[in-house]
Amino acid sequence: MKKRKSIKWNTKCKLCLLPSLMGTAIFFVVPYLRVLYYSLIDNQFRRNFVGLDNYLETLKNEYFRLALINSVLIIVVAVPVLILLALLISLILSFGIRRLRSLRTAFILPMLIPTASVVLVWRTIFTDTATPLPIYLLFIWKNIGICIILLTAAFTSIDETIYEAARLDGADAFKAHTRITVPMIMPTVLFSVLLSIVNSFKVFKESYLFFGSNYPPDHSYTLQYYMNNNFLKLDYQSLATSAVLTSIIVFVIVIVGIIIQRRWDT
Amino acid sequence: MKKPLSLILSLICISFSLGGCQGDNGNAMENDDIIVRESFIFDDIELESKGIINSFTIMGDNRAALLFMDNNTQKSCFGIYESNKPVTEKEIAAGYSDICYDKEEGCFYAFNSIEKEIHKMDNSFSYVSTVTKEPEAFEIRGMDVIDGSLYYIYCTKNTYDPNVQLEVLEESTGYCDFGEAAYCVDIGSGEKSPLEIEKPICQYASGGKLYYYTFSGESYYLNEYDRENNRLVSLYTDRDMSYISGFAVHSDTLYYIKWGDSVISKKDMKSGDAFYIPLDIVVCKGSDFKSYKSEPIILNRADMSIRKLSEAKYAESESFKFSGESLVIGYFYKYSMPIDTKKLNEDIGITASVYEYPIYDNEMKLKLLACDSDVDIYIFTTNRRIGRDIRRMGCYEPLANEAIIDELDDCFDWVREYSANDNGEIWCMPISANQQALFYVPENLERLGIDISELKSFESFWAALEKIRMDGRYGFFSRATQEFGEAMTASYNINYSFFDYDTDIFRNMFTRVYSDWLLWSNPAEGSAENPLFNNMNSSKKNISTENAAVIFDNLKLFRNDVTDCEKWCAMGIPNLTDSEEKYPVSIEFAIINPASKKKEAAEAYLGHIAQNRLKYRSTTPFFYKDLSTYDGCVDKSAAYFEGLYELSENSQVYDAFLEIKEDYLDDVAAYQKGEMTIDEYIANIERISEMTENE
Repeated sequence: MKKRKSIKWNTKCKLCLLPSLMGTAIFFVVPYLRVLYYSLIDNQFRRNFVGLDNYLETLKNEYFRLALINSVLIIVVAVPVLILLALLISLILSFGIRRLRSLRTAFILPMLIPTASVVLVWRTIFTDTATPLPIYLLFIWKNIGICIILLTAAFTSIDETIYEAARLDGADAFKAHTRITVPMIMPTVLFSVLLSIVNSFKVFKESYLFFGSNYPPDHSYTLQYYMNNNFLKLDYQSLATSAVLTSIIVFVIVIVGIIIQRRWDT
Repeated sequence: MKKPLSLILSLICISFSLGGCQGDNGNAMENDDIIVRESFIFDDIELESKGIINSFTIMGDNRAALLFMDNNTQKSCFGIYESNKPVTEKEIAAGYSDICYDKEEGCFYAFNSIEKEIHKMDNSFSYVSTVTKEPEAFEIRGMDVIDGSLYYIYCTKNTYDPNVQLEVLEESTGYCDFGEAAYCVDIGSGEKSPLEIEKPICQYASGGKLYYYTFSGESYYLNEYDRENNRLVSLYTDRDMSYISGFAVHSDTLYYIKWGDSVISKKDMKSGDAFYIPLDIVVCKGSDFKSYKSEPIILNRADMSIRKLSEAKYAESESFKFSGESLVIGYFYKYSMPIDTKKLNEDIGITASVYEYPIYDNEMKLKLLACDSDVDIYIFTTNRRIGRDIRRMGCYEPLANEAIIDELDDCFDWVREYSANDNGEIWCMPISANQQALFYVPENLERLGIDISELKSFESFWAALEKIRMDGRYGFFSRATQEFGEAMTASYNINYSFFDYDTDIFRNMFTRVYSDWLLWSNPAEGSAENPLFNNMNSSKKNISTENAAVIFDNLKLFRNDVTDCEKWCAMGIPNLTDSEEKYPVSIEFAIINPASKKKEAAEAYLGHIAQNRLKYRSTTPFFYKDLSTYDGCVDKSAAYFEGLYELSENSQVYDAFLEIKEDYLDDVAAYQKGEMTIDEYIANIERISEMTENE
């Protein structure tokens, strides 16, 4: 009886998932496979298989490496700052003045404002283009909202009774936070980190509009620029190869994040 | 396209002589089938009296009878052509204009346009009798003997009188009703009867049958005449077919010449396929429909030679094969298309619509890279770096069309060099060329004390501009500083692949051209204080020798803006260095989309454009070596023509390396606003060049 019910339930689940899976397949999987195919041929019209030659060429390219380094720098510099700031603000919102909680949704506004409008303002504020600071700050400003929302939700979802129990057991505030709060929000923090890392790879239009050129200063030349410029030069193979390499990097980061998260859970 | 029939019958009512019938002997090679005999192949007739051949008819026995007008005496002459023998001529006084031969009776029938009679004549062209009188007839539009009956068409109005032409012209269709009527005369009884054919235009005979060219509704029709039932059977129709000046039928294939064409069209009635047989000569008539079974022969009016038409010799135009096909051309703005698609659509039946790309090449690049088959032909310009990228990445279909290759052979070397890739494949077909030139008024320069040689090098050119400015009488006009600066940059390093910006020469040119930008008026900001250096986009369009001494522009725009073009001379832009340089030119070129599903038709389309040189090009590209190519398109007597031609001889395509607006000019604006020094500009532009080349 249970088995039959399980089969019926599984079938129903699959049917419900089918539209979403089909959409994913059509709009993500199939195009990805196509890009992968293009990265293995010399030209989309001649279609001669060249194996990994395109990959080797791309990895040897100094500008690809420059773009990769700059993209990684955003992860290494901007993402931690983003998460720390988001944590701080979330703490204030969750444990500070309760009235401020209603302002939570206001932090989403940066994500809603058109990038072009933001960049106009940014360019009047930041006139010095000698460093990538304006871009990092813009990235942080745009993405902090979602992190705050997630972290605040995580904070407020912790049951008060646990803290009460800890107090009864003699735990001070420090211990309560380190032994309760941190472990309980860690999955959300990890998720926010992963989300921010993925979003960091999408930093392009802000930078493009800010510098107004296909060739920004070296410090802001990211993978997106590399790909965009190769598209403009009709070099689809370089574009496809770098896109696949980027996806592999993101995939590895996400897998590592998931592994850490699972280990943390256990 | 309306084609008045004004000159229809100035000379010839012609038809091919093709017959499907065996000769009397039953053996094609041995009977009196003139066509197949070797002696008739490429024979040139030597006629003592040179003139225009009005008509000729195949007599059989390897002979043709000619009726021509002697240019000297203005008298009609009959001549018998027999292979390897001089033409036997007989001069006659009367104005005979058309002739046909009755092989069975062994006599001729000829129309006397003075007496308005059809006469029977013997083999020596002596009058025998009057077959019929046609007092209304102005001229005969075809006359043939079939089975003892004489069939003919005549018109009653003067086809050469422009007033008559206007009077009878149907504006909407181009058809002219010259009062044509078709008749049949039984030779034995002399009984004449009209044929019930509505709006006949011309008559032909071939293969034992009669054919009529008629007009009905809004189209022209080629019909076979069913003699038994006295009705027409339509074979082929074309709204814009116009007059047919030559016609024959052989083995289910029609051969005909559309008036005004220099090609013979061939249509397979079974499959419907149609072809062009391109030919420089127009002619032929043969009415001995019983004797021919081989290829048509043609009589060249111009040099009075009879030649056998061999299909192997004359390549068939591919374009007609694809008549009915529709193509899409990708271009950024259809109203400035370098190809006259409307005219082409009408002429060859391949319709092409233009798909506009307002964002220009980025959108086109996307479609190209996505292997989108929507667009069949892309037209790009070398002003953008896309040409370079297409060639480098192989995003094109190699062109093998003979007409395109022939055209490239007729062009200057730089055109062919650009069109061929490293493997020698033709990857694009140049459509237009945009040479920037200095147009100048010699008298004005003389008044200013400027020698023309001073305009040749940059330093002296700039000094000459100062003289013009100080004088105040005349101006130096340019469409935009950017274009002038860009052209100057390109002229310095024609390869344009890695321009060395960090040189004194470039700094010198850059600071002068772009620092003085305030002198270049912007129409949005009102007129400049100094009328010198006026932007030609402003209202100052009526530039003339009265107010200008030197203009920097290309021919097309120059002709638009200047009121007295013919008084101007042209020369190349000043060189930045003293060394011999080539002048920069940008071209618009067409490529076939490799993903197109109509590549053959697209190539045929481009081939037809190439074959006809300037006919279908909206602007006159100066890239042909042969000066006669420009006849009718450019005023070769204009003073600037010679200078432009010389400039074209020494041109080279500058294949944009950087995207001018995005990579080059943005920083120019920053420099002009004082936000960037020239050293910073040069450092940045060199960095961009390096990255563009190597990323």
